[in-house]
Amino acid sequence: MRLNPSGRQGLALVELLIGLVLFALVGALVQVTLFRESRLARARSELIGLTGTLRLGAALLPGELRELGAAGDIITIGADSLTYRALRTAGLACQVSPNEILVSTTLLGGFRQLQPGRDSLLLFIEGDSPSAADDSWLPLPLFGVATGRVCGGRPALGLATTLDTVLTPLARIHLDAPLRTFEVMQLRLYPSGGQFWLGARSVSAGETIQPVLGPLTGAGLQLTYLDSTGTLAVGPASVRSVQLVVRGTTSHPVVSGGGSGPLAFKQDTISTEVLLRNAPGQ
Amino acid sequence: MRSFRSDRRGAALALAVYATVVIGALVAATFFAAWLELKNGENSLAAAQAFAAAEAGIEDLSNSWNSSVFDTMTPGASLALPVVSLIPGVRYTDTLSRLNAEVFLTRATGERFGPGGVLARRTLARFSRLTNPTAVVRAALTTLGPLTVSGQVQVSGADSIPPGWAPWCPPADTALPGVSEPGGLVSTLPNCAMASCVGGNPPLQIDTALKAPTLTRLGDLDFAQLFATADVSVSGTLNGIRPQLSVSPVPGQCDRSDSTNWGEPLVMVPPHPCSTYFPIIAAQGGTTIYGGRGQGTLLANGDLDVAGGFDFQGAVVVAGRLTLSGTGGRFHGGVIVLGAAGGSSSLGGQGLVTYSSCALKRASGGAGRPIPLTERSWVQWY
Repeated sequence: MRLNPSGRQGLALVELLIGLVLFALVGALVQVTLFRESRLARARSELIGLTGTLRLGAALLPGELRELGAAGDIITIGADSLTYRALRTAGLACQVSPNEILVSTTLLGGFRQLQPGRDSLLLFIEGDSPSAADDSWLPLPLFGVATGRVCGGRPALGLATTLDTVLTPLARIHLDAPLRTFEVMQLRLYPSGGQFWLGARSVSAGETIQPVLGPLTGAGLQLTYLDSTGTLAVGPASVRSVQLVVRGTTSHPVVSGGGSGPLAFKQDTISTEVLLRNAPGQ
Repeated sequence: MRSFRSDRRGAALALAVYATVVIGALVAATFFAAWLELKNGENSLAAAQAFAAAEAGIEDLSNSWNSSVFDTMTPGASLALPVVSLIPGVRYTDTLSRLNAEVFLTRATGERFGPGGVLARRTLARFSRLTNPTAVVRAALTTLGPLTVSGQVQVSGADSIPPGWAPWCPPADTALPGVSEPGGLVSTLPNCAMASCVGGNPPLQIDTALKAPTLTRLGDLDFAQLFATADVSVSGTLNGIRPQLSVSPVPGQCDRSDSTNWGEPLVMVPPHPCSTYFPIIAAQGGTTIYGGRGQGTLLANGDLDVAGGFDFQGAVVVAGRLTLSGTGGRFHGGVIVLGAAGGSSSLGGQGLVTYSSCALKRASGGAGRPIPLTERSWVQWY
C-alpha cells in the first residue's frame, strides 16, 4: 500500500511547523520594518512641511511688511496681529484732472493689477518750495480703471477718482508725479479646525480672514515693534522695524527616536527682523 | 523517484523581493522629498541673493550719483546703466528715469545665475528727489567764531563773476555784507585797520540771529549728511589740487576718481572736461591746502589752513577755524566759518574772499544729490 500515490514526498509536521515559525518571524520583521519606515516617512514628510511653512513665513511676512512707512501706513499693532496699508503698485501720474488720473503703463510696477474698491491711491504732491519739507502723499479713492487711454503719446490707464482741487490745486501737482496704490490689510494669528494659522484679509475689500500660513502653535506669531533706537515702539508712528517670530507645528503627531519613539507634535521656530524701508530714520 | 528538494515551493524570495521593493520605494520617496527640500532651500537662497543685489543696485546708484550726466537728463528720459557683477553669478542692472524736474525713478533688477540660466530675478525701485546743496550765504564771509583780518586780505560782498565765467553767469546781483557775525568777534589789524580791507553792503554786519543749525543746513541735507556722501574725501597736506583727465578706459574725460581733482574753474573756453565738475569735497579737520585750484562745495569738519594762492569757486563751510596765510587763498562764492572748536580764525597774507552768486549757483546746481522721497519712496517693483 502506497501512502503517497502521486509519488511526491510530503512534509513532516515538524518541518511544517518550523517553516511556519520562520515565515512568521520573517514576516513580523518585515512588518515591523515597514511600519517603522512608514512612520518615519510620514514624520519626514511632516517635518518637511513644517520647514516649508517656516520658510514661507520667512519670505511672506518680510515681503509684506518691509515696504511700510511710518506716516499712517501702520494702523494698529498687536503682539500677534497687525493692520496696515499694504503698498501694491507704483507708477507715475502723467495727467491729473479732478475726476481722473492717467497713469502711464510704461512705468507701472508692483505686486498685482489695480483693483477698484479694494485699492486706494496715494498721489505725490511736490509742494511749493524747492525743499522736500512740504512734500506729501495725498490719499484718494479709486472708483474704476479704464484701459486704452493715452497720455502724452504713451499708453495709459485712466483711474477714476475725486480730487478736491480746493485743498489741492492742480498747480501743486508736478507731472509726471509718483503714484502709489494701497489696500488696508490685516494679519493675525487665529484658530480654525482645532489648529492655529496665520491669517490675512483685505480690510479694504471686506474679506473674511483666510489662512496663509500654518499650522502654527498657539503662540505661533509674535510681533515686536521697535523704534529707530531699537527699543520698543510706543505707537504705530514710531515703528521702524518689526521682529518676527513664527512657531510652526506639524499637522499630525509624528514619531521620533528612529521611528520607535512616542507620537508627538513637532515644533520649530524661525525669527527675523524687518527694517521698514519707507520709514524715516532707516 | 522525484527529488523532494527540487519540488519545494518557497516564499522567501518573493517576500524578500516584496520587502526590497517597498523599502526601496520608501527610501526613494524620502530621497525625493529631501531633494525637493534642498531645491527649495536653494531657490530661497537665490531669491534672497537677487533681492540683495537689487537693493545694492538702488543704493550704489544713489551713492555714485553722476551729477553732470544725471542732472542734465530731460524729464521723461531713461538711462540704462551698465551691468554690475557683485560676486560670480550675482549681478544687478540699474535703469534711471527722470520723471519731472525734481523726481527720478531708479529701478534695479538683481539676478542670480546658475548653470542653466537665471535662477531668480527681483526688481526694486526708488523714487528720489533731486536736491542741491545750497549753502546759506548771507555775506562774503560769515563767522560764528573769533576772526582776525590782517595783511593784504580783501573781503568783498559785491557780487562778482569769477574770471572767465561771464558767458555762464547772469548779471551781478545786489551786494551782500562783506562780513556777517553775531557781534564782537571780528578784529582787524594793519594793514586792514578799521576794516578798510572789507567791503560790502554793509562791510560788516552784526546779525544776532546767526546760529549754527541754520548755517549748517545746505538745502535738504545738513552738513553731516553731505559730508558723509561727499564726492571727494581728503585730509592732511594737499599740494597741487588741479583738474585731472582720465587715461583709461576712455582717455580725456574728467577723472572723478582722483581725489586731487576738484574741477576746473579757470579754463572755460573751450570748455575743459572738468569745467562742469562741481564736487562736494569733505576735508578732515587739520587739512592744509597749498596752491592749486578747484570748484564746488568744500566742507571741512575741523580746521582748514589755506596757503600758496589756492583758487576756489563755490561754497566753503568750515566747522573749525579758517586760516589764510602767505599768498593765501582766493575764494569766489561764499565762506562760512562755524568756529566750533574755539580758537580764532585768521585771514592774512594775500587772501581774497568775495561773494559770487554765480559761483554759488553753479556749485549748487552741479552737485545734485538724490534723496528718497518723503515716505513711500521704496518700491517692490517685482
